[in-house]
Amino acid sequence: MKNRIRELRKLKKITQEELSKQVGVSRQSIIAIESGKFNPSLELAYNISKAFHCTIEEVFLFEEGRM
Amino acid sequence: MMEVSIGGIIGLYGGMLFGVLGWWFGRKKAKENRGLDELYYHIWQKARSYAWYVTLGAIYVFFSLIMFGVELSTAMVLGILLLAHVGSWGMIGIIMSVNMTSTAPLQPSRVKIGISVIVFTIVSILTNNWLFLLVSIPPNLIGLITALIPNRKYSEE
Repeated sequence: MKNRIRELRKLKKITQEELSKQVGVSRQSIIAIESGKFNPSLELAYNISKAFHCTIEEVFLFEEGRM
Repeated sequence: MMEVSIGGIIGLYGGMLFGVLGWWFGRKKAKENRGLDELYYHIWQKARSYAWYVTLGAIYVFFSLIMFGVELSTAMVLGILLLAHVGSWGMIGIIMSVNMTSTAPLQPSRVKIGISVIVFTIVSILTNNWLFLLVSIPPNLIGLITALIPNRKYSEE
């Protein structure tokens, strides 16, 4: 699943470390999610989106037919 | 009654003690960096799942050897099964952890590592000498570390 985490992070000037602290995961997890290698749980996706004051659909881009 | 192997007992329980201590210390360190998160559990559960495939393969190899008339001691079979399971669990976990965070995915030469393990296992069975299997650990470890180093560069843009 694609996402806009890196783009939103740059926009809000938040580092991966700061975002990882906000949502309570390791920086490695943020790297993995950002690069699309790991799909977060619904709870973590919600927390990441909340950190950017966005909804889940605004941060995570669901691609139909890729499930 | 069989002889009591003092060296074996020290190795078995000492190994377990050091293993548990290493596992506990690793978790303690990971917890400090919020490392015990869902990615951690995802990686290590997947690694354990793959390790069972490796163990299943090893069980089939041992059964085949017995069918072909090779005599195997219980300690040797259990030791190699333990090594295959725990070793593959650890190695797969490390590879998956590196792949999750590196830009270029880690592709260690599976063939080379596989051949090295198989050759040393066969040699150790044929010569009935455990040391050959232990000798295979350093080259495999060096191969794995060499494969890991160039791909660990990740710069935050």
